[in-house]
Amino acid sequence: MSPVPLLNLQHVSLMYGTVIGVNDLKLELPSGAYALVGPNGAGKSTLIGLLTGALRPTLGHVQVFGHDPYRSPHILQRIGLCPSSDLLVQGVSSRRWIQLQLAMSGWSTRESKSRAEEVLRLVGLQDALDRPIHTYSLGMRQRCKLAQAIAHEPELLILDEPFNGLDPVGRFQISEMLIEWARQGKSLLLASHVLHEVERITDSFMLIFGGRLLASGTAGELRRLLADLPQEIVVDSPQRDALASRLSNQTWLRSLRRDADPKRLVLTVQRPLELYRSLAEWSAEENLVIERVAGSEGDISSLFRLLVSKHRGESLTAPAGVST
Amino acid sequence: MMNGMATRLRRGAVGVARYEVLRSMTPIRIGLWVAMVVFPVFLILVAAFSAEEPRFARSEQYQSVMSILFFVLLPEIVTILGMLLWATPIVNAEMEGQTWIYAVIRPEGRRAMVLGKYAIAVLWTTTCGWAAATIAIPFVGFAEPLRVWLVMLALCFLSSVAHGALFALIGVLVQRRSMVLAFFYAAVVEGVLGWIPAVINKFTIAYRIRSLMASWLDIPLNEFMRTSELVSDGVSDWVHIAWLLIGTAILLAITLWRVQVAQYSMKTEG
Repeated sequence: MSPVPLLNLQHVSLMYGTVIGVNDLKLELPSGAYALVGPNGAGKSTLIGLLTGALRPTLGHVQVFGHDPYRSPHILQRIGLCPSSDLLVQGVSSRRWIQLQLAMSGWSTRESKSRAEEVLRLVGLQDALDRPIHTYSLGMRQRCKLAQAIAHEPELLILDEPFNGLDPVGRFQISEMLIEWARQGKSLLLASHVLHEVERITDSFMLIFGGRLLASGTAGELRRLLADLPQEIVVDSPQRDALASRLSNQTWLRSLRRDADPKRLVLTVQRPLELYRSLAEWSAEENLVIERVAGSEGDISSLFRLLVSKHRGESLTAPAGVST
Repeated sequence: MMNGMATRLRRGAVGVARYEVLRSMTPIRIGLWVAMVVFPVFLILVAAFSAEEPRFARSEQYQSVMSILFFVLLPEIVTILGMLLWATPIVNAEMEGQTWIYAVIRPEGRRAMVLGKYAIAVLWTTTCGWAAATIAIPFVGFAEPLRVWLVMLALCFLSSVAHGALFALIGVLVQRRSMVLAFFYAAVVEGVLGWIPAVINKFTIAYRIRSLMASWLDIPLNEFMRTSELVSDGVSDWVHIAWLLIGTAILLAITLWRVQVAQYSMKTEG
């Protein structure tokens, strides 16, 4: 018998009136650590709402650990969520607040008292247990949110933009905690709009945009996918016109634009490796000076534009066009 | 699983109630509680001390009028105001504080939140009425002050649980402006329909509480009150109590069902 998948989404769509929240999501994931990456408004929080039973899909089926979280809320006992919204609790200490969260998870008063202290120590708030939350820094509030998410000992931890507003030290500390969580073999779903922030924590990505899951896989798989997609590349050369002339008859060039910078060309190329090879060749054989080549790898907005183009079925082999 | 669910719900509701008590201990909330005690006491004392009859030989009519004043101020106005403040925003206050999500992600979190906050709303409001009755009754000159006091305690409690359940339901049905809707409901249905001499007033909380007051304090009913059915005549007090308690249970059951299936729109960023 195959193990029950961690997440199983079958043709899931959710409409907010006439606005699409998520659109025809299909996904089956085993236990593990995953990053859900997409720009703001992509549908990450909606997907998290579906996974935590806060929202019911308009169409399709959602299962977490083999259960529908909306119809079978008992499964929420195995899920911890650290939401993206700031913690705006007034006049209550983190100790009391975590005790409330544990009570709502069904923990007895005695158990919740000791566990609250334990989990707040775990996230590094041991010196501020009895301070009101509204006096905390943003980083401390994030850690307090993380503490409530792991307090009831869930098997799946879902975090929605956990690095928002954190300084580099705070980001590092949260990253370390999540790496340790994943190392313990527990499942993790980390939603972020910044790719490089999540790369340290997991190598498995799901890219979401416009309510659709555009791609999923490891960083390597996504890079291979990108290799087949047209990419925007900026080339700086003091011989810009000569370079443009050389490029214009290449079959792998989709478009070429002269930038306001007199040295700069902005290219969209079908096969970046062909471009890199050609530039090296022209530089060596024709003394063409190339000062800078900048690709879109790591630039999340370019990556999404490319994936959306692919998703919409736009031609990837269109003839090269030159615009000035 | 049902046993686990019941335990989680009980522990959750108790946890929420304890937390709400802690949160209530702020100068603003305590000041509000004191104001809701002082305001009816002040009006009652003004009425009592401006009466022209000698303080220890007051007529039956005076006693009836003062009983009705107690009734209108304590189980009606103070209780309705208290429940508007504490029971109606059960969900909306959490939504505005961006903390509703933490109840949603617990198996019994939503229901525990509603039950715990409802219990504290009843406690908060009932104690306002009880405190006001305890302070005011010794100064009024009732022939049977202990009896009036006990009746007011019972009526404040019954009115609180019934109005609380009603306003909590409005609070979970309507996400925004629930207090405005609850206020209009209280004003139109309880305030106007409850006093219309027709069968419809039997469906209001005010009619049941009023009938219990008239029966328990032996308020003499005039012919108009009797024939227009503003107060029940010949119906057992237990019918009114059962009506209030069963009605409360039904309203709470609908509230708990509704809050569990509701998909309130929460601020999201992604």
